[in-house]
Amino acid sequence: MARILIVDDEDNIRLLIKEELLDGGYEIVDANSAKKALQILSADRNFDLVCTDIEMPDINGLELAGDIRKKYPEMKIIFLTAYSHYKSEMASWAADAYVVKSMDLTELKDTIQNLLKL
Amino acid sequence: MIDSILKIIEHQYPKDFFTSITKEIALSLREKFGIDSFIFIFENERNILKLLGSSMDMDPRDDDLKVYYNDFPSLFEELKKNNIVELGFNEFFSIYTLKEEKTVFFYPIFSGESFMGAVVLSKQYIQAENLREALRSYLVVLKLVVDTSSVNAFREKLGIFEKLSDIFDNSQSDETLINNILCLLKDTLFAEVAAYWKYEDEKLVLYNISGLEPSEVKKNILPIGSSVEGSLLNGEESLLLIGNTNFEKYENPFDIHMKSAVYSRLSVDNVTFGIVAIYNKKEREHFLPYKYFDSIDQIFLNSTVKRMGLGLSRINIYNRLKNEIQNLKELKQRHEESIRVQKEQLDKMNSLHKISQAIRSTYDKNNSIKIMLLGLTSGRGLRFNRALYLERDRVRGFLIPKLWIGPDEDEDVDKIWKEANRRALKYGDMIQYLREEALSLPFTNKLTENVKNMVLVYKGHPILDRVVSKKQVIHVVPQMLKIKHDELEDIYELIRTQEFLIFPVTGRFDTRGIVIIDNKFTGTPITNVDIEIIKLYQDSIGLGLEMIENYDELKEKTKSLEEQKNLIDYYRRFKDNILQNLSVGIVVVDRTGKILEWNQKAEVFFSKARESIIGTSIKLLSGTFNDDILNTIEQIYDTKTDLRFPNYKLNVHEEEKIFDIEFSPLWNRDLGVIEGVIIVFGDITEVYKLQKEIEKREKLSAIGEMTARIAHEIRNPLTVIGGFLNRMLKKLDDPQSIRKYSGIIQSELTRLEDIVSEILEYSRGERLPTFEKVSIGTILDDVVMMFEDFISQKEINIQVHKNEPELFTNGDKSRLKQVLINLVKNAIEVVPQKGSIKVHSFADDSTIVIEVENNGTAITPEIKEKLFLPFFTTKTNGTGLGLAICKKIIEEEHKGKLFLLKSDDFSTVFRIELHSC
Repeated sequence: MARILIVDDEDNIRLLIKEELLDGGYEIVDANSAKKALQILSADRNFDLVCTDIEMPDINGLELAGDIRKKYPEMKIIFLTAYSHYKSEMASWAADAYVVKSMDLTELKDTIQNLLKL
Repeated sequence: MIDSILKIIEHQYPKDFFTSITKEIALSLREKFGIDSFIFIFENERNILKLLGSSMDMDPRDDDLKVYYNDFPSLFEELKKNNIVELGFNEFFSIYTLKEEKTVFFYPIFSGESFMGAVVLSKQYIQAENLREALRSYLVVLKLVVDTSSVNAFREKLGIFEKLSDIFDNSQSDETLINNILCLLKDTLFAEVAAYWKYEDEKLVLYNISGLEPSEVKKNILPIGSSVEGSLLNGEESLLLIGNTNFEKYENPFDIHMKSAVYSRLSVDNVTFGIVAIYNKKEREHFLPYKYFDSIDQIFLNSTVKRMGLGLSRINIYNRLKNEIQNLKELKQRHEESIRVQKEQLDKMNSLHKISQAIRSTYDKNNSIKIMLLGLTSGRGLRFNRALYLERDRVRGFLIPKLWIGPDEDEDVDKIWKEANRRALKYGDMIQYLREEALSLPFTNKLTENVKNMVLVYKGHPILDRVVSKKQVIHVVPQMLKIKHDELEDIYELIRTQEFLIFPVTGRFDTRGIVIIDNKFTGTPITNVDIEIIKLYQDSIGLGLEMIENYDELKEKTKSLEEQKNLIDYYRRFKDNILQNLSVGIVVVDRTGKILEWNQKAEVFFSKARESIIGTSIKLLSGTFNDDILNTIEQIYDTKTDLRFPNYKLNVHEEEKIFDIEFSPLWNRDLGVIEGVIIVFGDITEVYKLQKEIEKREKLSAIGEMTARIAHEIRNPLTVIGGFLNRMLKKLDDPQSIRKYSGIIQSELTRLEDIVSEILEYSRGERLPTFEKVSIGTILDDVVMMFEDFISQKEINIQVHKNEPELFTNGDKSRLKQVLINLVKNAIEVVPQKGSIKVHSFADDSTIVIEVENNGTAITPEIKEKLFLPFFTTKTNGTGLGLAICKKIIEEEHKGKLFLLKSDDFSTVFRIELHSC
């Protein structure tokens, strides 16, 4: 069973994704900040995928992705953000996929599925 | 009888011809009348009766017998009247042949009307008629005789004049003329002595004498009073003395017995020169011993002496003329000589000029010395034989021979000069010749070698010191060498010539050396003209040499000057380039408003050419520069400080331009005064436009950012709402989930509403603030109370300080409250757990101050700038409108101030200032 770490500073978003993906049969761990996410990863690196927001206080998603890439090169990363413009930033290329937030979470779920299939 | 006469004519010599004829006639008369007769011929020219022939054998002493009219005028008169005249014998008239007779009878002979002579008979017993009849047939012959005799007399006379003419022609001097004439007179008049007494110093001096031995002269000086000769000086022109008794009362200068003498005064141009005298008729063989000079002789002497006077006068004139000619010749020679000298002087002056030029055309000292010496010695120059240059050694007081040009004694002088002249003539230009000859001339030669190791000491030297110190030119002549031998010995040792010239080569102030020149070989004397020329030469050459000596120094100076000039030029160009190529317009104006500088950019900005504007008054440009600018220029002189007009609008060519104008005083640092004002025009029109554009863009991008933010702000709740609605649809059968999801959706909807109202708040327009007296303290209390939960939740230490007495302002209570809510809310958000917040309020004069302080992290400088811009936020959740709205409320609506007072590691303080009431 694939393990996914969800990072978002908004509780309701995190909750929504968590519930949705739990339904998809994934094992979910969530963190409300990048800092928290890195703590979780350093304690337990056994995750298949990290799904993170970009706009967050302190450490944003891009920095987090960069950090994870250095420390856990095999880790799959998805940006899930309300903004589409970060797609043009080089730093966003560190992620494997870039998904714009939507009330329809199908795209997110498809992307996760595809990535994990590889 | 005629036949016999013709025979005579045929056979006789002309000399005896007449005697023979008359003898024949006399013989025929004796034949006819039986008595002897004598025939006298009348010579009309001399007015004499001359005995020509006789029937008797004549005593030779009768040969030259003549009867003078002066002696017997009555005889002549009577005979001419055709009367027979009886004449007794006397001392003056005797016919030796007839000396026995007591008287003789003169029978006149006429041919027609003309008197021809007389027949003299001793007895008067022949009728005159008969004699006439007897002579008739002879008259023709007699006429011939008379005429011929006349011709002879004339010829004789002519002969004498010819002789006189010869004498005049051939006598070039007084002495010769006098001598020749005395000889002629003596011979012609048969005189024993002829003498010329010259009148000198009231005496008569025997000047010349003919016919006497010096021993026979007793006196050669005669007193005027006691001599015949002397008596003539003031009286008669001539005098004839006959008979020794006449001489007794006078002094006889000669050792002879005086019998007769003729004297004549010699005058030339009415001036008495002296007396010519002839003494004693010579006793010729057949002459009577009592023969004396007669009046004919006197006449002859007079006319001769007159001619002699003319001759002397002529000789005198001739001599004077000769002298004049001689004088003229000498004058001409002198003129020619002076012309030659002048020409030579001119030539030398010309050479001098050329030599000076040649020296000035060289920059090498040795070369110039060579040119100087060549100029002195060259055939095209001053033509001295030798020239020696001695250089002055100032320190030791020596003169050291440097170069001596000229031939050496044992060299072939002519050959050397010939060769030198040949070379000299190769050049058309003398300057060129001197320069090139100097270049090829070696600095050593035989002459120089001779004196190479010799020196002259000039210090204290009686001659050389004068040359060196007093700059005198000294001309040494042989006589001077003799007299001042000791003084000149050392120079003579060097030069070994009797005559030479020493002159100094002087610069402007000092003597550089001396030159000694001479004419050793030609011996030509050194003239005053030479010395004058040398004096000129000396100055000119000295200056030339000095110039060359200073040349190096000058060259250095010139070089450094040139470098300086280049540097200055460079700086000037550099400055000009900078000034002209600056992107700002620069105008410099002096105190009177005159434009001193106007650079390229100023030309472009104001479309006025630099050349046309410089020097004119800036006031003429009042169309471009308004009073602000003109007044500011004036002002700078007083304030002495820079002034700046940022974003100054000027209308240039009906186009508005924005300038950054800076006025600065132009200081004269040396004098410490302001010379003018520098005005710098920076054209910032484009910049200004861009800035405005940027501001606009910034606003636009802020709107964009806001939109994105709003979108984001809205998207998050929408995602959540939509997402959970989807889940609710999936979990319709799970009421617990639906309740949970409904609660979430509700809170997200509230958030959405907040966002919308905040946007509306910023962009609101319809609601106007309502002003009332508002208590600051009340507002503070209300706000703090509102956040009590948050404060306690974050365990924040909050202090509120309300002023005593209460502070009131005139404002919109709710909006002021909103500002404070925002500030306090922000403070709560940024402070850490257990942070501290202080809210102060106090009065400062009429200003109410409210400060909200927190100890959260410091705001970075980048953020400070944008702090109050709308839609700027550092928060992930927030519209970025909070502080923008606060600023708008305080500053625009309440005319107060809201700003960040400070933000560092200790605290961040926002300050509100309001008007109290």
